Amino acid sequence: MEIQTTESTGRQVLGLQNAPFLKTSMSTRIIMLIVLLSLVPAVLVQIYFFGMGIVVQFVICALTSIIMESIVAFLRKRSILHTLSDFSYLVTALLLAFTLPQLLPWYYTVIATSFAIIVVKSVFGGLGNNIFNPAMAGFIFVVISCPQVMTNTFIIPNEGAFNVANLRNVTQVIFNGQNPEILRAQVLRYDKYQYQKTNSKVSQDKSNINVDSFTGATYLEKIKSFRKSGNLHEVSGHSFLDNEYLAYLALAVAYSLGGLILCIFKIIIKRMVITFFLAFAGIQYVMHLWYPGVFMNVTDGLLFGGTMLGAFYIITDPVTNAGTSKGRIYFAVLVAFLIVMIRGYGSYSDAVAFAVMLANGCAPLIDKLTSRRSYGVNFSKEELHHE
Amino acid sequence: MSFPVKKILKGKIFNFFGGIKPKELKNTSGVAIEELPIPSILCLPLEKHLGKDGVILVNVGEKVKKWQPLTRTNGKLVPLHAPTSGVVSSISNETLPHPSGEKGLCIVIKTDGFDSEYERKPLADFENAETEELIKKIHDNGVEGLGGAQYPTAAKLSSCLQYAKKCNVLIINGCECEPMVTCDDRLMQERALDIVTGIRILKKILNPKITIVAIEKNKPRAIESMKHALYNTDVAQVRELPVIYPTGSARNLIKAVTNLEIPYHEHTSECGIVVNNVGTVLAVKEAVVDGIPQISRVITVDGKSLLRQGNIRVRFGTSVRFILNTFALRPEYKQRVILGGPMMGFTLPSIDVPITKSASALLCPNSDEIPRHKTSSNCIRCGRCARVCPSRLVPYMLYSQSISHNHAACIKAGIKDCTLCGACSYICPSSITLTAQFRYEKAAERHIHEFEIRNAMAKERMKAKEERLLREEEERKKKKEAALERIKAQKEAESKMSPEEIASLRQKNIEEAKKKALAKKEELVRLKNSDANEDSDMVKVKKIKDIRKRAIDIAQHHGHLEDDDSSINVVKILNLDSNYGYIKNDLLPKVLRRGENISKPVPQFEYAVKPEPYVKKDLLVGLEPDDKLVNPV
Ligand code: SF4
Ligand code: SF4
Repeated sequence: MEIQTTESTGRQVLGLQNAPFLKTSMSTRIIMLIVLLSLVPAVLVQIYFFGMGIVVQFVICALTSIIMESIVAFLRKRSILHTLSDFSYLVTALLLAFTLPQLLPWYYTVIATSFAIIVVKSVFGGLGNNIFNPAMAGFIFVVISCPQVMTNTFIIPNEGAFNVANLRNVTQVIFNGQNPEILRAQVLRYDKYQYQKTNSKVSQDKSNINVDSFTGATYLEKIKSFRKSGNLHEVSGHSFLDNEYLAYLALAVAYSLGGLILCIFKIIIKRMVITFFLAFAGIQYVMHLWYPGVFMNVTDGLLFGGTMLGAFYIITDPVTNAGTSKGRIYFAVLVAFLIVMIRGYGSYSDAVAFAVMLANGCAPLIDKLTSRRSYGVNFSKEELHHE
Repeated sequence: MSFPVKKILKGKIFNFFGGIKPKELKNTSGVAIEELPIPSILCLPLEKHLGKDGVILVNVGEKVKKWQPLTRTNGKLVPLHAPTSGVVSSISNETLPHPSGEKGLCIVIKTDGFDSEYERKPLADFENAETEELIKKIHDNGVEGLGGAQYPTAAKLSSCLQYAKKCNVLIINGCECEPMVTCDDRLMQERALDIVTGIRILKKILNPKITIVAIEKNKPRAIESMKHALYNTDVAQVRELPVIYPTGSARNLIKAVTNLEIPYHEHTSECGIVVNNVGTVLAVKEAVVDGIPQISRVITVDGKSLLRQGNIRVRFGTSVRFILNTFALRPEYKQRVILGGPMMGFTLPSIDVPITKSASALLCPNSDEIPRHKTSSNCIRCGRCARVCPSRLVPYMLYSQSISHNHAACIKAGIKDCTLCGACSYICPSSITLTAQFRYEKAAERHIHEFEIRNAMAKERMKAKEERLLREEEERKKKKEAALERIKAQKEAESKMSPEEIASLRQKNIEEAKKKALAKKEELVRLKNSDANEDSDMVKVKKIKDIRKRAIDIAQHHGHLEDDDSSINVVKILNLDSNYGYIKNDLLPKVLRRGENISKPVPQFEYAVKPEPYVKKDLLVGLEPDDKLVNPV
């Protein structure tokens, strides 16, 4: 027998809604768009010093993540359009593109992104429910599974690298399996004032290049053997205005600019970033003083590797850090501490990703320990009437 | 920590935690208050004016005059007064101004348009009056807070006098932090002098150390006019507060003015701080000086779907439809009609509901003015909601507890501190309806609480009954034994007596028994009479019930109510088995059960009485209600 409801007697013609009726215009999508736009200066710097690799990587990451998100949404019977309407996956893709080596073969990128989107994010319940930062987890997945390919696909920065590592050359390496060493050598030898003359020449004598001389890509990778043996202080100093190191300085400036934009839009908490820098500088300084053979100095620590990117974009990811404002400060200090320590004693060259992942794991605990005091907790009515 | 009187007197404005800055949208602050004409029907909800042993003083068909009291109450609740003259046409269940469209007992008055007045007792010389007298006047004239909570003002004042011994701070709340609402703003601009008189009366009653009129900075004209009215007097000082929502809520206002955080489980008045809305202060003045009961209030009518916008003084009980007609509503598709401000109000499911004391605005925005909500996406834990919550809660954690029906965890996380201010929902970038969930959670919490109380009471009753039964059993046993003994003794005595003696003894016994029975009967009759004479609780309740039943009958007769079809509700569930649990887990009433039974099997019902197919009956349309039928002489 059919159930009859005796309650509804007429059609509801008035619109019903829940209070409050006013809303800010700041939506998740706009936040994500601002984050993306704030990274534009950094992308430009990357292109200038490292070539077009990042653009290609970003396109691969973005396409993969869109496809993966759609598949997941389809499997979970959610609206695909609604899932794609927040651009969080694009932010993940861009951060991945920043952390992955510029010349990484495409299948590695696809695997890293798929891992990030499916295992790290969707398995936990999609946006907002993931425990670990997807970009960092995807990066670590590739680093751990195939360390070799990570070391020889980084481009050593050079001014005007985009002339050599242009779209055509980069796609050749990424999609057609050309040896990345050749392109890296070309970038390294490239002198922007000489380019017009030597252009044809360089492309001809690809085969003559001594491939082996370019292993040990990034600075952090270079000093690894020194710090392992405790002789870091013997590495000769360098100026950040030199050609090779200028890139890192420029990147740091670009990231700071992006971070400033985020601060202005109140997307990241200023206090958290400042605490991070203070803690990082303090810990690095003390450790450098005590063990100069293992720990680098503060400027090196800040400018090399992913410290700046991490400070503004990774640790501030709201989903995976602690929930309370106070907790976020502790979280920042923890990450700073872990970065310094892992950079000193870890066996992988970069530490930011590992530090962030470890701290992500601690976030629920931090949440528990830093619950906020409730309203009017120290109030006593009796004392108030005391004269 | 004694009371920081000196610090407060310095006039520093303190910050309270959280808060938001929504668009102000106060475009009616320049429109003068106008008087709304008398509608043909007024519907007055009784829920806050009857209480446990309240009495309805009028009957259906009776003539009432403006200001005439309609109910008598006990305790805190204040009586209800007729807003205009007319005839009580019914006492029936009508739709209340509530988001769910629930019904409640109302007195419906058919107005006659003469507005003839009941006697009133003005008291111009309040400075020399007794405190009790003033409070009694405020109570008898039905003054309640117009800020939204509708708390009886007299009760607030006397609780302050009773528990706090003396009042330290009296705050007159003219903040009006809700966007779009301008009724208090207009009142301060137009009736500043009357408000000052009201403040004087409150000061006379409370004798506070500090009196502050708090106004947000976005009302320069109100500030100016209040300052002007207070010029050269030491009645009160005006504080200009920054424009942050929700400054106007009592706890936040107290924090902003005195830097004291009063927990939500304490009453502010018991801490020696009394906060009163300017509208209430005006009502106090009218109640005491003019002797006029609170029968109307000023509300803001705004929204682009209306032909014109403004502030009006409406009599309580005026239907929303009447106001919208006056302001020429041009509805869009699925027009939203919001009773209250855009942050804390609610959409009405029907516009045939009366205006009550808690409504401060009536808004009909179109979709351009206030966009409709987007579908929400997942929480990204950005922490914005926690940063704006004035009650220092962490709304997103509370939300996740609440949607998993973890009521105990919600209480622990502080749901009781939530004022439903809506700041968290406003700020959330994922458009999550946090506040709505909290409102639901609070309702569920209340329901569970009531359920527990009911349970405990039932248990107590059960226990008492068992004890009584045991006692009776024992008594019966004793009686039986005594009787047996007696019979035995009698038999023994009889065996020694002659037959004549036995006969005379029996006769005597019978006569004695007859006498006893007569006495008992008389006693019973006497008891019954005295019961009827005394106005005992039972009788009162029965009276109300009778009135109500009669009212429902009349309402049905007039076509206000559908026929009572309770027979349909008597159903038997066929497929109820032990692991089905449809009934067992039903702690929550139907309105509160949401999305819970999606995956549950549909129960099969069998009606005890087969429902008849619904036939539309001819209602009494267009006929005047015939008083002779209703009220036979
Ligand atoms: S504001 Fe919304 S998205 Fe941000 S933490 Fe609160 S509930 Fe989550
Ligand atoms: S609605 Fe409740 S939880 Fe949300 S901001 Fe207001 S008080 Fe806090």
